[in-house]
Amino acid sequence: MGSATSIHSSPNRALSPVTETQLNSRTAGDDSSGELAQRDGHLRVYLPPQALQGQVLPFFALWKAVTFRKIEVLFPSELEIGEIYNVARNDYTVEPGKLVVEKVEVDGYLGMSFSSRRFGTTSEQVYVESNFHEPSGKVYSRRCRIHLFRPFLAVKEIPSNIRVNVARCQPLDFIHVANEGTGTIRMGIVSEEGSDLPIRESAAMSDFRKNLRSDLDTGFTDLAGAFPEQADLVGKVKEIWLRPVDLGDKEALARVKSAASSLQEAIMNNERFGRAVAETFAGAMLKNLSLLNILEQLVDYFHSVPAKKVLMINPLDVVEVGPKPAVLKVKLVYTDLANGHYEPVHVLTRVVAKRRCNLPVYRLLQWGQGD
Amino acid sequence: MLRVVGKILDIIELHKRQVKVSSQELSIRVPEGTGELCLALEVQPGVYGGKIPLNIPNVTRISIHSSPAFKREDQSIFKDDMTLGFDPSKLSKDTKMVLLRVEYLLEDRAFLDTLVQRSSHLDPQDEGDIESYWMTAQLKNLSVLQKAFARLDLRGVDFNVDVGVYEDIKTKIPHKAMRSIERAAEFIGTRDRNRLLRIMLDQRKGMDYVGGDLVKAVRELTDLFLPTRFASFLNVGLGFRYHMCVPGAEMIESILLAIPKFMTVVSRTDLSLEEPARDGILRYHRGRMRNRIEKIFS
Repeated sequence: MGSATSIHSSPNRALSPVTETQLNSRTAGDDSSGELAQRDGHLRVYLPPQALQGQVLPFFALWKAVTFRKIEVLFPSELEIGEIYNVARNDYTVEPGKLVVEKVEVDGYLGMSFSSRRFGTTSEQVYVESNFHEPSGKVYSRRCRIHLFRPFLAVKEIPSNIRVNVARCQPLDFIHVANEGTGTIRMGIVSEEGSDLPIRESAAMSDFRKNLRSDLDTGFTDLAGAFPEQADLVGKVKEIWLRPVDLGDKEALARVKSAASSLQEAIMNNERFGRAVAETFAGAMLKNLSLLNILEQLVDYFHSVPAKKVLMINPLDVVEVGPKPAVLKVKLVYTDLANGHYEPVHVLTRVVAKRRCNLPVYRLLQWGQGD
Repeated sequence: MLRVVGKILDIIELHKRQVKVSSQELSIRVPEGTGELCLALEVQPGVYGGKIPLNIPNVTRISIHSSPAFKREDQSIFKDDMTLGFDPSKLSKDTKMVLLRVEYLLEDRAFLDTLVQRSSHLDPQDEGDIESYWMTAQLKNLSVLQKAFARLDLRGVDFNVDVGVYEDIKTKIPHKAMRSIERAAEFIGTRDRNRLLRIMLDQRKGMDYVGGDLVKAVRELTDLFLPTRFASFLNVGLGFRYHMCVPGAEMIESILLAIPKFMTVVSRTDLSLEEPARDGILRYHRGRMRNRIEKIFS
């Protein structure tokens, strides 16, 4: 039976890039291990070695010079079968944790995909076992392992007061955070209702983004005109690009996920459309790069990578603090590289600064190592 | 993809007293968006009913060869008012079998997604000097295709994989250089006289990374992500091949920078009835990239 093994204590354990497969040949009746070993080269089963939890997982088997009367695929309950290829609807049965294929349509190939659920732990080793039954009773077994992981943003400590050295516009107390999972976090800080201190874009970024968005708006309209068959998709991408995405909004993330995957597919299917999309972005960028010098870009870059496996989307957004103590109510919103939804982390504290200063939000956080 | 093929076969069927399909093969060149249908046609003896027009706008070119001699039969091809076709009565005498190749433009590029399941790795967790991204392609409807075609080739199925480079840049640029860049950026952006003075004093203390050296280093860093340079840090293996790379554009971050966080690498593979599923590996030589960045800023 396929199984899941938690390795929460060592989430970063490296895996071999090659799928681990193990041959267990069981023979009903006679022992013909020499023959089985020879035939081993004719059967190949593939499952990727690692993937994000929630991602679609491909799985396939290819074989030659053998015919199987039955194929069983055993998998843990955290996996669900997505699609099955090369098997007629009446020739397979699915029950929790098990797929039984009585017959493939064209011999030599079984294709399928799994969808994976979010696990309780951030790192799991999952095994998928497949048994290929020959009419003679011989069974060829393969066991494939996959490491399924996800990031986890943990807030370790929230100070009741954040004191600010206004001369350097540098906090003396920090919100302590860590990526305690495996996999990359893409995160942002958003102010919440009830906060005395709103978060806004820095002046340099604000001008740049405003102009970039305006030029992209025009560019997308031209793109939709040149590729009317992609007008719907271009409209969705435009909407996402012209308005900041709230990473904590499940529906917004689903829209991003769907638009990103459709855009990716459209680009992969049509090189000309791909070039036009790239030109639209590059054209808008080139027109506005002068508003943001290379040094400012680099500063944004450095602070957008605050720790290992963490990408911050708005590091240079600012909170105007001082001269009076004020309530800071923010949420830390995050997603993974598959744009999966994670619950935001809410932070409530007070900022104490003697004079006014614009505090970049990345300075509020101090990143520690995951457990 | 199959709609154009269906139309061509319908036209041939209408002229079955002249020619009869004995086998059909299809080759799709995905990047170009073209298909090539190759039909083996039995020429029916004694009946010559005139021209067979392939009046389908997508058809761009046809060629005819006799079989098995493989002699060109160009005299049987005609073009009337933008319509291509062929005339069996103009084939060389006693020709019993011909190979008709029809090249056409694919109507709908989205056909590929109904035909092929593509997946790739999003976030590798390799700790060493090489980061590996898996890619897989699987044919969805093998039996339908096998029933229709004796041979089917899907050539150049594209895969876009985003290779993360941000940690290599961040970890290998010395802290001193970062501070210097930060001060220079702050200097440009502030009008507060006291602040300007403080920045200038701080900058003097960290003289290692100022002026020309820093600008030169940043330029060299930017150059590393030019497609031809970045390609030397990549290696695509197994059933896939490297095609190109470009700085990645992201959906969530509404800003694009001169130095990318991701490079989008396009790899390609081929599928056929004999090879309905393939897996490949894209390897990014992160260790070599980190050494290179370290050298630039040393």
